[in-house]
Amino acid sequence: MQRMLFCIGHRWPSKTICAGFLVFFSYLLCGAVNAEQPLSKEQKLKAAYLWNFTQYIAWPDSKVGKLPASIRICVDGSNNFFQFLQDMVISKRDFKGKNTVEVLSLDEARGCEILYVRQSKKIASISLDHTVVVADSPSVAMPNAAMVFYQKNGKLRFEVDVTIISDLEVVVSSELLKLARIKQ
Amino acid sequence: MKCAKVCLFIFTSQCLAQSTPSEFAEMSLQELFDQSIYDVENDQTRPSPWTLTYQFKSVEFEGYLDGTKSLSFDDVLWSPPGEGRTAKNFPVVPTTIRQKAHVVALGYEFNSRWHGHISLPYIHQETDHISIVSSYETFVLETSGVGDTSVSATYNWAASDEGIWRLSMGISLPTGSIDEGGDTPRAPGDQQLPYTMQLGSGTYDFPVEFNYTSTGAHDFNVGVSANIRTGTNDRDYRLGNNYSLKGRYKIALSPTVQTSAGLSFQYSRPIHGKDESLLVNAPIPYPAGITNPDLYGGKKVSLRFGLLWQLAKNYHLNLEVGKPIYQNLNGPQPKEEWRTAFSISRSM
Repeated sequence: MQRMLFCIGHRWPSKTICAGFLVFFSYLLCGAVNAEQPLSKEQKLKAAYLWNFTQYIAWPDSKVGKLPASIRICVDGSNNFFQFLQDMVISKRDFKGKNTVEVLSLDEARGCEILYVRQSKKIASISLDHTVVVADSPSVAMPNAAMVFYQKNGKLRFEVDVTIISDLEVVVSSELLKLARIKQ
Repeated sequence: MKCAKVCLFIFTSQCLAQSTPSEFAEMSLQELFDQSIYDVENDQTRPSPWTLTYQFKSVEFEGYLDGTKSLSFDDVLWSPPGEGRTAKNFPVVPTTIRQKAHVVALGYEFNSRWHGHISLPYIHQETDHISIVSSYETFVLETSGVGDTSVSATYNWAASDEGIWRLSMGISLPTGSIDEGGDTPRAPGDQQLPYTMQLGSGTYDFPVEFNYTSTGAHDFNVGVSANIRTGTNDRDYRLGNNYSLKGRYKIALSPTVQTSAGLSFQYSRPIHGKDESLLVNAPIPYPAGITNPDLYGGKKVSLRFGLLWQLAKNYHLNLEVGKPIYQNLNGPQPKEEWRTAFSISRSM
């Protein structure tokens, strides 16, 4: 950066070299920033939905928007997805009057309120009482998935299985259900 | 150096255009719901916002109705001296009217909510006649040319995952001719042709449509539409307003082929004002039914069947055939036999 400022502030023997350096530097900088965010927009939207789910679902020991209950999102996803969701949650720390949220990887979690799964697998390591299982896509075969992401007309949508939700004894707000495809 | 600064700006803009976790965290549920999954700046798989459509439409009128009563050509043709002239018989009778339109339309998706459309038709019309005028016992009149240009905008509002409400409003510009002429029995040489043979309305018209499309378990849409016409054209008339109510149910035969069946109700008003050049100097000044502005409009109920085929990723083909099952016309008026439409569209 100092080199670049030097370039601008002083007479340079060749302006072309200076210009080339500026372009190259900005390109590299841009590449570096992008390298930290390789997630697709679809994955980012899924992360944002997961965070929103925590604010529109009431678990047995909490009420939507009333108690600052700690909600654990367990993530069975890539490191980048995990990091993105965690950064998102950290950025919402000052969000008062709503549930506080923490993001955990499957390896470190003992229990969770939301479990996001990207592959069909048996989850034996953690307790799934009252856990809302969210499947990454309809191709993920999770019989106890209460919510499933799917695509429609280039947009991300989600399905809610109200039977499973009822069995879990959690309450999904009508605002969230209004946007969902309901599976009876 | 200027070039370098421009490049610097472009690269920096690209960096800043990337969305951060905090930006996504600030989105409301509804905003997330409206988001496309495609990265606008970088994802080459994102469909283009431009759509080009070619449509061929055809409609044929044959036979006559007065209200719901069917009339023969003999009923409508005035045959002197045995038959007296009335407001319901004429010395000239169109027997078959064929109208064809080639429409080119360009659509642009501004965002997930707003779409814009512009369409321009090329029209060809042909009418067979019989008459009691010597040397004009049978004759055919034809006109062709550019019709009225339509510009419209559509707003999509997805209230839930089960359906989409759409409001479409536009303006139809009078680019079609209302001065088409031809050789009729009215006088030697070419004269002004009746309203049906003109290519445009001559007025600024405002099409508006409101519909609901279900995207849930059942694929159907229902809508109401109107074409509101304003003022009068240079020939002192304006065509009647049209109002319609339509419903259509689609069944998917495969992931790329859908069939549809629908019902439409259409109500049209008669022509307001009159083109004096179409009249003759007689107690009943209308040489043919189609020169009388009061003998336009009425009510129709039509059955429609369609086929929608996604030929390739960016190509759609649409076929539709419609047949009126009920017509109550301000007659005597030529009755609609059937209409067809074929269109092919592609994202550019």
